[in-house]
Amino acid sequence: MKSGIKLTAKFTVVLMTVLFGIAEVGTPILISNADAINSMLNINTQVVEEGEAVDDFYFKSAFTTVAGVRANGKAYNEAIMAEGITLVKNETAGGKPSLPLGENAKVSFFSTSSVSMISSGLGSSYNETASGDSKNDEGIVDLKTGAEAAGLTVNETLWNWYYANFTTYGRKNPGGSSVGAYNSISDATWDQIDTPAKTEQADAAIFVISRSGGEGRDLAQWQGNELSASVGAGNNDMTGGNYLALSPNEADVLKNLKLQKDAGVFRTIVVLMNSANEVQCDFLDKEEYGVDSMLWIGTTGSAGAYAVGGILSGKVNPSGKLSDTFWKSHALNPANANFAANNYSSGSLADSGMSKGDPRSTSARHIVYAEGIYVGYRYTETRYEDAVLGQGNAGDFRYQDVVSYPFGFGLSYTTFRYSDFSVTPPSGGNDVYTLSVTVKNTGSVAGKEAVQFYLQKPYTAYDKENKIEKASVELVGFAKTKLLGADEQQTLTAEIPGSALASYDAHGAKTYVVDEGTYYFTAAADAHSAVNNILAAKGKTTEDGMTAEGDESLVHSFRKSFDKITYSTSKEAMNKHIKPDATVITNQFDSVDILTYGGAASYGSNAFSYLSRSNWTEHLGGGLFGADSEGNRTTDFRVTVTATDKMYEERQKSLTEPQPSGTEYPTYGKNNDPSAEGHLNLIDLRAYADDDSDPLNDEPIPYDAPLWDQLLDQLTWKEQVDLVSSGGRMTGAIPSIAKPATIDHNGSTGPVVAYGGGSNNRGFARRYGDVDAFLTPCTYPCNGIAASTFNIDLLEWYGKQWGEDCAWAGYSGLYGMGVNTHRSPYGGRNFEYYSEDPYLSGISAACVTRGMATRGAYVYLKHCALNEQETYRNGGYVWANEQSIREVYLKCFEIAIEEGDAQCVMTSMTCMGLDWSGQQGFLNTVLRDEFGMTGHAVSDMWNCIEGNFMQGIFYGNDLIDGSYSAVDTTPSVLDCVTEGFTISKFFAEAAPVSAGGTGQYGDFAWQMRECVHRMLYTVVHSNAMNGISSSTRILHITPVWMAAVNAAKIAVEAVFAASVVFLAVTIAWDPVANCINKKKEKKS
Amino acid sequence: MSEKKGYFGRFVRTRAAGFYLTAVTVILAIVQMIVYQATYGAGNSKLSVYYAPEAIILSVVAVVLCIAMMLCKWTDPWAPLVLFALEFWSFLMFASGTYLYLTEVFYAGVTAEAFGILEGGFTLSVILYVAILLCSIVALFMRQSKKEDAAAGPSRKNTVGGKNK
Repeated sequence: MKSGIKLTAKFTVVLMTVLFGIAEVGTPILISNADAINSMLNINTQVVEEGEAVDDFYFKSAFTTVAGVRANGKAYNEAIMAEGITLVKNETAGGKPSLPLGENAKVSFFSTSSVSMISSGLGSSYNETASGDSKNDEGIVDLKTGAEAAGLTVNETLWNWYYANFTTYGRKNPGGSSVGAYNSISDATWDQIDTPAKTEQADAAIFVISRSGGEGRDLAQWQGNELSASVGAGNNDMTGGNYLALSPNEADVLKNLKLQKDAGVFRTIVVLMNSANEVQCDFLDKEEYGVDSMLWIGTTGSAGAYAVGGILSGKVNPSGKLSDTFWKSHALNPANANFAANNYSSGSLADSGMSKGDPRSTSARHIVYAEGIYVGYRYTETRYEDAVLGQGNAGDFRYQDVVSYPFGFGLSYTTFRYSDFSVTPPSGGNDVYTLSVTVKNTGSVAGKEAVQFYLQKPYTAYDKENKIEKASVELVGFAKTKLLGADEQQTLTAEIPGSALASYDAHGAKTYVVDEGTYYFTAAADAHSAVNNILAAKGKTTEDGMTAEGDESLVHSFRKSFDKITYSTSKEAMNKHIKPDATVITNQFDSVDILTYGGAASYGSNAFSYLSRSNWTEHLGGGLFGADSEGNRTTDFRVTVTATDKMYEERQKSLTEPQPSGTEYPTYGKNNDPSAEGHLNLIDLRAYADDDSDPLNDEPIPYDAPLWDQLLDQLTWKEQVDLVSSGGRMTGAIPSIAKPATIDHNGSTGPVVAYGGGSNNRGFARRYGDVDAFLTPCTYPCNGIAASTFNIDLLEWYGKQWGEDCAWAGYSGLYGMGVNTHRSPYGGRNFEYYSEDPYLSGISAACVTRGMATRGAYVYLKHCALNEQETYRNGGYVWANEQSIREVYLKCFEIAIEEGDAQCVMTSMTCMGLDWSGQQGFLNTVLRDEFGMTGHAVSDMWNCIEGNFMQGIFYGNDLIDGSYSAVDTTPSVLDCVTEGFTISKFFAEAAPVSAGGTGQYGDFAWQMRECVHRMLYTVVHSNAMNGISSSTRILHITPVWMAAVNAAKIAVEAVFAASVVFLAVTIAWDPVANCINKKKEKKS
Repeated sequence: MSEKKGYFGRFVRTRAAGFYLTAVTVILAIVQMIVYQATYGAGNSKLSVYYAPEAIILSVVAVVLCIAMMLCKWTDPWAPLVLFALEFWSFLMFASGTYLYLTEVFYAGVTAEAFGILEGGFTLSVILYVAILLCSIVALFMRQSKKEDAAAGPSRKNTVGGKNK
């Protein structure tokens, strides 16, 4: 055969092998991720043929254009900042308070952060048009603009120098990626600022300290731990590898600013702390730096700089109160001893923590919440009280050496006086304490004051015996005044439910108990003042070691007798028509407590004690949890877990698929055809029809109405499987009941995608063809700043704005808010979460949720639960005791669900104890049966989870963030299930006989039906139903690209087969020809 | 002995440049298998969850088949093709197993920093795969063996224009 033909054959086969391989491997990947691709490319997969009542907008907007919504968003951004920015220090400088500077004052901004103020955290809650800082995004108002708008004059030469030298001295990679986002503080030293403008006369030197945080990575804690080793070591710009300490270069500039102030160049030095993760404040009181005042400004969002400028100049009087304790040194925070970067074996920084379902694996990560309930001020204030009272072996604890500014603290440009505190006890069957206090503005400037109400419960012998811990004070209510003029006063009230007095007793009564003893309510300006008030009521003074005198007139005490009955049941689920009877509240998290695996030899040797106020010093290893009196880290106090064979066996049980059962299946496909008599559409389940023309006034159809069974009976097995199988930032359409697909998307600090973005977008921006549909909603501040407003009304209006953003962007559900706890300042995602305090977090989230609901948007509270850190979030095993889970980590979810009617949650990637959170069981037993959550639960990113999703459906994780077709090809997930198990195979096997299955999985079928019920119930009460009436039809369309991919695959397979045949002929040609020729030669 | 020596000598004399390139490619394939197994197959590696055993199996088959075909004069021209095809399949198995790792690394965008945290084992595996595929394609279009007489004789007179007929 001619060599040219052979060459052609080779070329063809090589080419076709490549194409064939790509087609065979690539097509399944593309198809299994079709939902995500469609969503990303904004490809529509449904056609909604709206019926007669196209004007049925059950949730209307107050706006007519995207521009209007966006402008309002910026206004709320500024309003939240104006009330959330917290003034923590304001000394006298040059004969008057450091702040306000007054209009027309001249300011010099120092640090490269001043020109690149951080506006947002990074990761999935990161607004896609924002770079995360003011320098790289025109949409973010920078500090100079904000200051000038407030009437200040900015040292422009210095500003321009920093701007021009940002590449050299600015932090590296401030935006774009959460990975490596905070690998360098950088900044110029004093000598490197080579412009005479640095010594130009000005009223104030304003030094900006910025720190960024984001998804996927916590912040570096100290030199030598994994994070600092990988992130900070190469930069040599962190003090001791601590990203949240003043860096050497920053310190150098501050020292020189002090010299300039002494020389009369500046009147005062102001620090702006621009971070959702508070920088430790030890430097603030050091004489060498000469800092006169500091504002915590969090991350600012798009327009927050205007509020910063306003507060600096005095146009705005700050009224924010800290949503977290500000520590002198973070090493003094006991939670940090067992946080994030504590590696339990020699894994690498970026180790996912995946253990292939084996807790004994060397790549398994165990995190123990060893501090129990003593998170933030619950530790500092409790140990302080014990030190003053001389109890609990509090040891050498000097509050002033540990805390710079307590939780709830914040200064104003005016002063307030509290008086007439009173408490009205429950009466007439209404189990509520009504607290009130009068607040008077005793200064000369108008201002607002947020009053906080705290409760102290008795710490008794019963508690010690049953390992119940009690914080010295807990925030149980708050209220904020209107803008009070000079000498103006206002009486504020708060209603505290009686259940606030109960504590969870996991070992004795195994339910909530009210202890016998004396209880104290107090009104205070912050958590520390609250303790001082109570100590004053107990007869203590500064002579006993108190840091300041308390005000006993602001305290009300009363006695209670022991009660383990009243709060041992919950009626929330019953009241929301989920359950007919009240739920008995009892232990649900024994398996999450590492002590379950302690003691008995078969369970392991995890002999360990959670932090207890019964003996502080003993439990803290004789010191301050691994820190010396200077706040330097000295010893590692992390808890090491012994993972046993028993743990492995129990883990394996949870990874198996649901087992067959003899339970009868529900009905499927009855009247499925839309033309059948008695057929229902989803919209028919929204509300009972009445004569009122306003659909918002219709009476909603309750969750347990028989009509729901009728609708669910209509659905086929396949329709139900399809709905629960695909939840990657959406819920799927069910054409037979005219359920539209929804967009359910990120993020925790407001919607993050363009108003016109997303497939199946039916938002107002697309409906009206708005010319600004390409824009994204405004970037909002970190949620810590929102919480710091302590303003319930403002937060609810803020929620309405987010609801408008959602409705215009076509979001029905928002993957947010984040209500995890600020367990440590180093949490990478702290910007998404509100506070260290569960009450403040829960109420803040509840307010925003209520506001959003008015625009038809539902929220997925995340990440439920025990996901306080990013490191090892992918399948790490988190251990905590039941009391801390219920009173700290789930409390914020409970409040948001009960007070805000939050409908949905996103479960965490972590394992709670040995089980992935989605299959731990608490979703049904606690969130639904106790708290009354009515909606569905979605998982976090599917490929980062070590669990069995079918067990998730069984235990109430209704949906996954992804699709099951993708799960079947995900090695990390398949490693955690029975060999050979795939979800598609399971669904096929579990189907009823009528759908071609075995008909042996009735229990699973009923659970899946309940998942569908919850999802439909959520969607029918959302803006997804806008424009949908009983006559609406929804048609599913296959995107062109999917059809093209499938066609191309078939074509490639055919041509590949032909090329192989061609090659075979080519190979065989010469030998066969030779053979024939030889035979011919022989014959001849 | 001398017979064996003679056969071996004739075998070596008749090998063309393509043969040696194929041999180098086989060695690269073996190195690649070791690297992949060491970085993905190890129990405590973060990459192990993305391990695709099919990739190793296909590579083993590719190497064994290729060596066998290289030793037979009728099949040696097609040895690089078999090596390429199977190694390419192996690469696709590797890619389908590991693409989720890339989604993790580049979760928030394709940035220089994200490239910086890519695992060395992953990067080396990709480089080796690319090298194997390129070498095998080049080898495929090169002659694997010389003609007996061309190898033995000094001249290219038996060919026309310096090329075999």
